[in-house]
Amino acid sequence: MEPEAGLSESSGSAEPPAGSANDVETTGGAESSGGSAGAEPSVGVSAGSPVWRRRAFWIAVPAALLVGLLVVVLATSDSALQRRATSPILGGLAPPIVGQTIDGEPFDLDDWRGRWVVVNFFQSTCVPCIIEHPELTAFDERHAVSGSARVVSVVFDDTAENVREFFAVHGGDWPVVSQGAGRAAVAYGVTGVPESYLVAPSGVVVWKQLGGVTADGIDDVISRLS
Amino acid sequence: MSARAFSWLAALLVAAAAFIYGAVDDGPPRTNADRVRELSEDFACPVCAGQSIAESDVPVAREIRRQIAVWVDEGRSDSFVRDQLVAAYDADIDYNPSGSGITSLVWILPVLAGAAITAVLVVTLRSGRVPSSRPISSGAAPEALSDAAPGMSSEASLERLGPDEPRHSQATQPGRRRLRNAAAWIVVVLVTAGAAGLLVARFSGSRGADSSISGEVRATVRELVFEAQRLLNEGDISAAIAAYDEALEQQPSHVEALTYRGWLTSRQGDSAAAAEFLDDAIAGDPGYPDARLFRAIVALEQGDGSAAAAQLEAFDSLDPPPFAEDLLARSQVRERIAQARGAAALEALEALPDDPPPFAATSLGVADMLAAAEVLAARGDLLAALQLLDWVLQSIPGDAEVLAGWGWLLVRSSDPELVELGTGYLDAAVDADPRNPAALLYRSFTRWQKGDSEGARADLEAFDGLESRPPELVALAERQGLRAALRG
Amino acid sequence: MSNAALGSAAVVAGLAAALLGIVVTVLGLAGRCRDVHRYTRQLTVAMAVAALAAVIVMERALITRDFTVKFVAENGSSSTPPVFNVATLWSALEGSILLWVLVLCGYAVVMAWKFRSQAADPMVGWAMVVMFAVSAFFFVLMVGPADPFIAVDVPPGYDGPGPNPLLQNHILMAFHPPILYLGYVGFTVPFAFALAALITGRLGEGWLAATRRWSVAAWGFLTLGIVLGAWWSYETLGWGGYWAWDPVENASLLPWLTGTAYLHSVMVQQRRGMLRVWNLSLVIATFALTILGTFLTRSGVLASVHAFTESGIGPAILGFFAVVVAVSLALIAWRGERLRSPSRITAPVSREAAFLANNALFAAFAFVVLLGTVFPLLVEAFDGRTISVGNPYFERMTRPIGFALLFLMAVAPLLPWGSQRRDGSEHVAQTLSRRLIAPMWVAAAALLSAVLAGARGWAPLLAFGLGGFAGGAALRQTLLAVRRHRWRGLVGRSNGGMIVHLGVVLVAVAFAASQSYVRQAEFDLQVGEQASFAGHEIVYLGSAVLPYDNRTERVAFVRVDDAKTYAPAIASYPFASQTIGIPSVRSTWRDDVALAVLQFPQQQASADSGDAFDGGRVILRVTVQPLVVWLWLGGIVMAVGTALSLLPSGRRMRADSEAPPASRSSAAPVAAGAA
Repeated sequence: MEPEAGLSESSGSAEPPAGSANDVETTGGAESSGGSAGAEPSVGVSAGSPVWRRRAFWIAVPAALLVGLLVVVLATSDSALQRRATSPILGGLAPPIVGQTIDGEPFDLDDWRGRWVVVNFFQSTCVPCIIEHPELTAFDERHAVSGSARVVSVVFDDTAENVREFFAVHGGDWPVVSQGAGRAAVAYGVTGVPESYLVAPSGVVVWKQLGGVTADGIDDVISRLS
Repeated sequence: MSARAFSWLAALLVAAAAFIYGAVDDGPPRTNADRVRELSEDFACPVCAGQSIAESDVPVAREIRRQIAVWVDEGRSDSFVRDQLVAAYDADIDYNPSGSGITSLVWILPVLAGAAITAVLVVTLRSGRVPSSRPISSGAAPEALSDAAPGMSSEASLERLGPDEPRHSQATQPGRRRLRNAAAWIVVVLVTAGAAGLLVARFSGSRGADSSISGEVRATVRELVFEAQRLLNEGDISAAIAAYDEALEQQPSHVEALTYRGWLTSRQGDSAAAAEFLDDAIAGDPGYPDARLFRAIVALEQGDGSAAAAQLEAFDSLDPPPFAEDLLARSQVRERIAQARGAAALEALEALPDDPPPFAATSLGVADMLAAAEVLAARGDLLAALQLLDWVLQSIPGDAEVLAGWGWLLVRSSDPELVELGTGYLDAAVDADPRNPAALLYRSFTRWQKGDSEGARADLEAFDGLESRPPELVALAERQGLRAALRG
Repeated sequence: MSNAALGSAAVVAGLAAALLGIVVTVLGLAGRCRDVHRYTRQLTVAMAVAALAAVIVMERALITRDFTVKFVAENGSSSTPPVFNVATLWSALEGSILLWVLVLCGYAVVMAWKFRSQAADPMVGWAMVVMFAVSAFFFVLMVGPADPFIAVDVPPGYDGPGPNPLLQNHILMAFHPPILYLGYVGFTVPFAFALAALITGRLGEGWLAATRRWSVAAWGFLTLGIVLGAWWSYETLGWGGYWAWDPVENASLLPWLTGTAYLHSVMVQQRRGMLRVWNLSLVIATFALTILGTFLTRSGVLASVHAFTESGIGPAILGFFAVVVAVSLALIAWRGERLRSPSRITAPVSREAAFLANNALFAAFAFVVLLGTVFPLLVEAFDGRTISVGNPYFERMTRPIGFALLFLMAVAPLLPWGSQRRDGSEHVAQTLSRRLIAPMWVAAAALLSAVLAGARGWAPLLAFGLGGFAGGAALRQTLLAVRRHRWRGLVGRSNGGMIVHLGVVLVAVAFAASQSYVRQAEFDLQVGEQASFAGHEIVYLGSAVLPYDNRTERVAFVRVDDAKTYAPAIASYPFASQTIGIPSVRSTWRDDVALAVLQFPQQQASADSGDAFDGGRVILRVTVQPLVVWLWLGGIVMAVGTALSLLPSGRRMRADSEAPPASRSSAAPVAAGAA
């Protein structure tokens, strides 16, 4: 027995079975006559096209609303490249920097509590780091006498030999942490070099700079905050 | 039972057995490196476009990967790693959206959508079973669901439930009851799915304190080494070696694993490979006594007495592990080292001209000479041994160490005269240096053997009172039962 | 005439042809001018010629390094190797739109030619209008925000930077984008017919029959494109993975999911006349999702490695997406009363019920992927927080759906249509028990051999078991068909579909195995040093510096398992700030050993010492993954299966003769053209 027979029987309507594409026109015609005529369902004769139209409408409207919402969100979204979150460590206690300097001395940031500390993450081969280096040197010398502010550099993805050479060439005699630097970089959320943080005497991170710093710029921040 | 039913049963049994065995059996342990990789995949590289830390190769990603590896080696949990990274880089570094707050919707919505789709499917398939003779008009409600439902996109299906009601309200009395039923079902489905979604969000949206999404950590290096020790104690050498290898794969510099891997290798007869492992271990931690001891034994096996002696000396300066004495005694390490030392010293002596210069003029050491004398005596040539010591004594007359050695050679001979003579030498040694451990202990032995328990005990007490007691002497006292005898 | 002017002229000509095509065809449909539809075909050809001319001009500019064209100045380079020089066209945004348009016009021409005998049919007419309209939109993009033919003045001696280094170091880059576009764009044809069906009100099965082959072909191309893309990223990115749930990857997966759902549900409509709204929605959704994917890839809203650079093209594409969805939904709402289907499912355990479940699963899959992809944007819009949704979410949420789909894949092809009891034959449970016993044994064998081979863990084992089950079912059907019909048992929709299923099983099993049993470690090796890892011996033999036209490579020579020597490298391109790793992969049927150089630690020190590179240490990342090769093989099998299912099967052949064929998709006036 052909399934179609059972199928048309089960649908129980007088319509010719749709599905054979030959019948499309007739089926469509029959339905459209019902659809165009009927505002109210005619019970028992047809399934009621208005019901179907309403139903299609109620499917389409929420779908349209959802897609519209999506479009609005997409249209108003910033470009992914412009989105940059502020650092979550700002305003919190400075993450610890414990390790060894390139000269083999132990270093602990907490020993410097009570001073302003510029924490500078850098790499010996990065050009902006080389450019900002004189500024750090100037800043360090400016505060060398009073001792109120100090600089510590933290090596990022580099070897101690390269860094030693870098400091030999470019000067600067503040501590440069190499051992334990990776842990510190990840704790500060460093994303690239150079990147600098200012730690207040209270031990709170108060300022962050992506890219090179200037001595005056740091002093400005310090005077603004103290 | 028909053949097909039997076949089904057999196939299901095979499949179930294999599955259960494979799912329950632990299999090879995951390594820390694997955990690092999986964790890295779960965090976004903070400066890259849509790449995870695992994918990206920029310096930051490399640095974070390295740090994750450190944390993993420290045995930190996933949640610890997450918290650290989020504290430093903010929440958007975490690819696993949190299961609380607005972000939990990303977990809940799919579950709700899945439930809605399932409900619609169930309704559709059930409604298909209504008697086919029913006129289509009265079947409006179920049919409505059956045909409209698949036409909805999954997100629309939720929205649709509300606005649909007016249509139902036009229905007749049975229609209203159906509506009530449908509403009840909708509520049930929504509540169940909502609860399920919350559970999913709760379990997926966080990293448990000790569980880890990065996969169950079956064994840290520590656990592996522990396991290997256990296997070793059970005598399952090959399994222990496998466990140590596993540990070394994770942490190639793990001293304990290196040490024992080397030891087991030497037990299998490959001294050269064993020496390599042990040298690595010693380089990693020069203060690990086990490595020193094993290295000494391996050096002996390689016939390198002086290296063995050096290792043993280093070992003696450390806290010995509890099994050390037993192992030393069992493999007669000290004796063999002394023998090797003596043999080497003899060779050095033979290299001297027939008319030897005074002992002091050579670069030979007293301990080496004593060892050489022991070797000569052991060969039965007591005379040569005594001559040798005599030659030494000519340069350093009255040296307690040499005198003690001399006496010790003599008292061990069976000739009572020589024993008497030896006793004299021992007395002279103690007189020369009352704090010489060898002289004290040797005399204690001699007195004990002569039945002079009092004297023996006094000497032993004096020996025990010394600050530095050479371990080989301590071992000798233990081994020969001197202490026990005197105590009893 | 300069290349820029020629190209611009071609683009404008193409736009004119497209607009004219809309006008002419609509006039013809309105009955204003009889026989005007004859010009439709000529206009598609004109449009395609214009697009082809634009592409040729651009390729000429690229090959001759005509840096007066901005696109060439920005993306071309005199040092790019020839193959990648051609491929530079689709390595940047404007060129990729150009390729898109060429493919679209190509489809339009083939469509107009295929349906030439029914050109007067309103449905075909409206479909052509939609094709013209979509083409016109993309031509407008090229006239406006994505103009590839902007002329620039460059100083003499200027040389361009070349395409993104990642896009010019693997040959797959020459194939993956065009094939992917053939897939994406191919779904425009079914979409055009779906809209035409809505407009004309002929919502029966005619439009389905007309577009079946088009959808299948587009799906096949999309599948192949995605697999090639995964392969490319595996071979070039060097982290040992091939799928990272990146927004752009998801954007290609979404239309694939809805398209796959459509290919299955369309059978239900053709056979039983059900699911009309659903099928329309799926076709429309598939097309809309390709547009959305285009937006996500090209607007810079979502961060992705695969994304093109940010441009002003985003709002235009988003607007087009909104228009597509709005028009489609309006049409569906308008035609609501005609969408009632004449029958419904009568048996809960039947082929059509299984298809329904299949569609529900694919819809859920697509929802999960779409939600995860856009969720960060939603949260940011409503909550202001930035979050990320990635690997853990997608893995956890899609895994159960994948399992369910594999199970259905085993059972559904063996289920009879409708309710069989009425036919007086055996109960459906008996039918299943008879047909499923062989696949069950395959599943048991797969599980057993996997466990014996050392596979552990419930998830991969479940995947292997279900994969064996589904593969066994597909194999059974194929074998039965071949036994009955010889080689003809391999062609035609259902037989080709079973081959595709086999490919899917291969991909699923390989995916589960490679994801579950991947091992990775980093080694710091001296020259001559050996490392053993996951059953493989790796020896670092040394390194060398190799200068190329467009890059300099520092190559590490690594011997794997005493066999061949492999040469992973780090390449530096003159215009790229970063170095690019070039991994090297040793593939066997069992597992892959992927080698990637992370660093030559003494690089800085020895860089000064000239080009003689001493070798020294290397930090090598070794990734060992089982069965990776089978992913690509599975993809190829899927493509072959798709091709087979497109071949005419002659007469109707089915694997299960006890379910006699009951074809309802017969020759509609429209369908004849497609056959």
